[in-house]
Amino acid sequence: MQGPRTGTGDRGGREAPRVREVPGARLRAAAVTVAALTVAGLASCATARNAAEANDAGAPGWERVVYGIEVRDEVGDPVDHPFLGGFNLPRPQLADADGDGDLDLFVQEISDQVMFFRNVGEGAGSEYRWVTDTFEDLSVGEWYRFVDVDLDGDLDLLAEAPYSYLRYYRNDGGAGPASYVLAADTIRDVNGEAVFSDRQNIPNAADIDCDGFLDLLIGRLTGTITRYEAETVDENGVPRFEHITDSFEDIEIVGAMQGSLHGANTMALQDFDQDGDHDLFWGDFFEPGLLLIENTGTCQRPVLRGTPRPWPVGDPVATSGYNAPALGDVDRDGDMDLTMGVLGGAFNPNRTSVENLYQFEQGADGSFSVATTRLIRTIDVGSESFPAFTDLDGDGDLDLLLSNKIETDNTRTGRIYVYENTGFAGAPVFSARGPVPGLPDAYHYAPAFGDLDGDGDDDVILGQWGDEVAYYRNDRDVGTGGSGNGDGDGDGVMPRWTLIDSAAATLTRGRNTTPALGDLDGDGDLDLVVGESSGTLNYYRNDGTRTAPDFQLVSDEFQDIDIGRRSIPAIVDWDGDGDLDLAVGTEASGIRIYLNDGTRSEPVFVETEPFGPPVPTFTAPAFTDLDGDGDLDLVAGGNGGGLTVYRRTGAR
Amino acid sequence: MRERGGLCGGTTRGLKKARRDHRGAPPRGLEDGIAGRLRKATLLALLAGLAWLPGGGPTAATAQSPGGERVYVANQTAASVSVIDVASGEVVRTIDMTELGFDANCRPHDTAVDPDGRHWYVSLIGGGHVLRFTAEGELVGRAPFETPGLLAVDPSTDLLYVGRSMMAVNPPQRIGAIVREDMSVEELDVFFPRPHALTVDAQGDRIFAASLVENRVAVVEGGSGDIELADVDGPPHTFVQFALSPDRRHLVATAQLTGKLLVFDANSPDLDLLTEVDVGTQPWHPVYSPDGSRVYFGAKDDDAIIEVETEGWTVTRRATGRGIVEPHGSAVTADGRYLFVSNRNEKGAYTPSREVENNAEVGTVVKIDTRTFEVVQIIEVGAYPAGISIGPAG
Repeated sequence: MQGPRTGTGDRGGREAPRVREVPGARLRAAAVTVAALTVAGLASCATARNAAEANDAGAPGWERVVYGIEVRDEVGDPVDHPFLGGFNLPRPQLADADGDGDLDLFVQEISDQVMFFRNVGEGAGSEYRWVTDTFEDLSVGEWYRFVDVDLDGDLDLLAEAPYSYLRYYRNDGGAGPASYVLAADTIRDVNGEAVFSDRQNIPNAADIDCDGFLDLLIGRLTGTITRYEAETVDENGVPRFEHITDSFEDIEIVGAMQGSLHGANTMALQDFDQDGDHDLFWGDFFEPGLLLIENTGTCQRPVLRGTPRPWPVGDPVATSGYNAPALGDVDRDGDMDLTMGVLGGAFNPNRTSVENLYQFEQGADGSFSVATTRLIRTIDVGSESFPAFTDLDGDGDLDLLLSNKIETDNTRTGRIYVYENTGFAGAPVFSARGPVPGLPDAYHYAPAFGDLDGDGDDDVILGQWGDEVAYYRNDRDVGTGGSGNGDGDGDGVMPRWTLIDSAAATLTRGRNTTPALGDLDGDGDLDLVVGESSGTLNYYRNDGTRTAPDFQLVSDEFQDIDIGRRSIPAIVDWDGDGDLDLAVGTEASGIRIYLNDGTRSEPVFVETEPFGPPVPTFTAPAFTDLDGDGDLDLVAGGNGGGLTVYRRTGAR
Repeated sequence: MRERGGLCGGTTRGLKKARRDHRGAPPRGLEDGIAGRLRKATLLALLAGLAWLPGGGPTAATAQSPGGERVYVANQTAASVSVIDVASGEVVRTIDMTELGFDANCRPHDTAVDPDGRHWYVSLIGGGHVLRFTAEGELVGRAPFETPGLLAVDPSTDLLYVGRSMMAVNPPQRIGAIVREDMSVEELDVFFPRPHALTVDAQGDRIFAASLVENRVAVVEGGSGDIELADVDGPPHTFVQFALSPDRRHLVATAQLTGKLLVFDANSPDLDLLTEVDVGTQPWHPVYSPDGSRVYFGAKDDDAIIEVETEGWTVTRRATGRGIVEPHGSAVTADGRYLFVSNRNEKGAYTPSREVENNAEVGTVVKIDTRTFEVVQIIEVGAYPAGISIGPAG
């Protein structure tokens, strides 16, 4: 399997890329594997099952739900991969992971892990299906590249070894399923020195001169490219690279404006025009598009000295910059297509926090056109999403509200988006209806619902980026604002909220209010717990009545709970003992659970084991019975702007 | 437009208590928190006859330091810091980070020095730390921090503020506040991505930070942590660095993509943009003259050092020539007589005095007489000198 330098000129790496079947058994215990399940009330629900609970059917556990709950966008089209959590800076790669002759998709959204989507399309075209967030449990730092490092015909993996070195996973799968083995934690040169690549500069490798020896190209801050070539192998069969030049082909990439060089870059090496040599695509922090440097030489004598051209030539793409390309014939029509992630550079990445995974298809005339800007369509409202559920239209099922931190097309506010449940309790269908109208500009809305005026419908306590929470009364009269009949027309779902108090509670310090409502003192009205950016919780007791709330601060360090940063509480009976517990989302340490060891009127919260399965950063937990089985499932917002869903299984 | 909002992912109990105190809520254990440190630091500074103006600029008092002044230069590629004696222009000490256990690619990026000169600091982008040294070059503290960038000492407190380098795919949207005495770290959420430009208004208890990727400035109130956002109209600017006028009226920012010096009314609620000055290609780190009459900075891609007078906001002088190659950091002596500018020389345009395999192995710091605006000394330092600071010898 290992490929010491042969010098034969055999360019095995130029054959169709191949990564073989990945057995689920190789996934770590904490990871998730795919199972085809049928969730009660849900049709053919493909989920991922927590491996730890899969062995004990009666034990409480959680199943990841990605598919199976129908979600539709505002024009009624299905959202194909609804619960993937959203994308902000996807780094795609294409490779045939299952050896079936088509290209599968890999996406890195967060550090140190790679998502895997299997191509299940039949015939022409591609249809991706999510398999895992943690492909092979590979630790990849900030980037990864499928490359045939040992030139044995299958694809190995190069990745970042934090910080800014190169890690090499060798594919030892042979003719069978792929098996990635850490071959070298640090790629070295022939002198034994570690090869360095600033981590924001994502390198690539290919046998650029077709001499049978792998070339490693590293973009530099100066816009130049350093070239190494595999010269020999060490005692473990790991290539050692010889430094060839710091000015490969005298390439010096300058930005679209001012020749900026204080940047970051990505590159792809592929024969995009199928003339038998490698061309170079360059994405740059200061480049809103993608640059093509066409190889005008030959495979053996590459010439990449032409002026970089904005691509597609004649109709160049423009994003927020720092675009990460990957090439492959995804539609199996015999020519190269291009997949591009938008990492976000100098041109306001916020505006590409939703539309950031492009697919370009090459036509018969060689021209490229955008097939989609959201190759993997998932619920995604931007960044740092915050979910909440309430029956907006009074039809007996729960609708979804999902807010973002900031709009993609308006830097001065965030929004709350409505997803009407056009299905039924226990079998939801969420249909996007647009943003809640009439709210003032504010970042990071965070709604919590409860009947605060005793009229039988849910009013809203609305947190936001500032230090206050507002109280809006629900004045919608079901039946007058529209049909409200759940027929899918959406005319009756938009809330009509009346501001009663813009500062129903104000933090003593800190910002980013995240409210949760629950009767913590057992007096029959709803009290208020508010998380904040500093990680503590604030408790406001409702000293009013069931029809007129009056929130009075009891503690701004409630029960000394401090999760460090960005506390986002949910009040829920976690252990089913009839009293209210706390689940607190955090910035980067999952969901912390605090059980009530006191009483219904005098709670004493004691931390217990945290929520086990992986959740996104900036986790905003909401609990609701999605599948109508009588227990609460988890719907979590997070940094990617989408939703991550876990269905609760087994006994408590 | 200015958006008022909140600070602070990552404020600790210290800052929380400080904020509580600021808002008049019951203080608890202030002596243990940052607020306590702030008070102590302020008191000590007053007792010592603090030698720095609130705006962060040096006063003549630093020049009275018997040991003179020192310039601290972060050599980003060489993984070292050069310490230069201002009077002689000699490198009196070079601190090699690899000898301290850091990687050769630890990327020292910026330096800062305490008002009394007894300690100085360096950010290591690749090393993921901010380090504290004595004036004698002894490493006495370290604070872990992801991709630290620019540094700003708050002379009125015990805090050192830290921005983010752009050398990361997705750095945290927070700046750091490091308690200098013990190098404990707090992080302040500034709402936008890639906070880079950074300066402190000590007297006003404000920190200014700007995004590299949005035309947006965060004004953070130091005591409470309150944050307000100011949007800046126009095409993408990519703010590199700020400087605050000694009288605290004006905040200037260099803009990488538009090649401008932007002048803001530092005290207006919306951080009003007063004027824009076309200054050349890729203006880098600006610095005010102590009397506030001039702003200096390098125009990196022009291989030039620029002087802008602040009465009418015009470019008055440009210095070019040997030693001025890809200028990066700027610092002015306390009396305003000399301007020091670091020069990356990444392309090797400058040929060093000693024989090297690659000219880029040597960067320069040029010493400019501000009366003539001529280079009076070229000081050779390590590869890719970047951030630079100046302070009393300590």
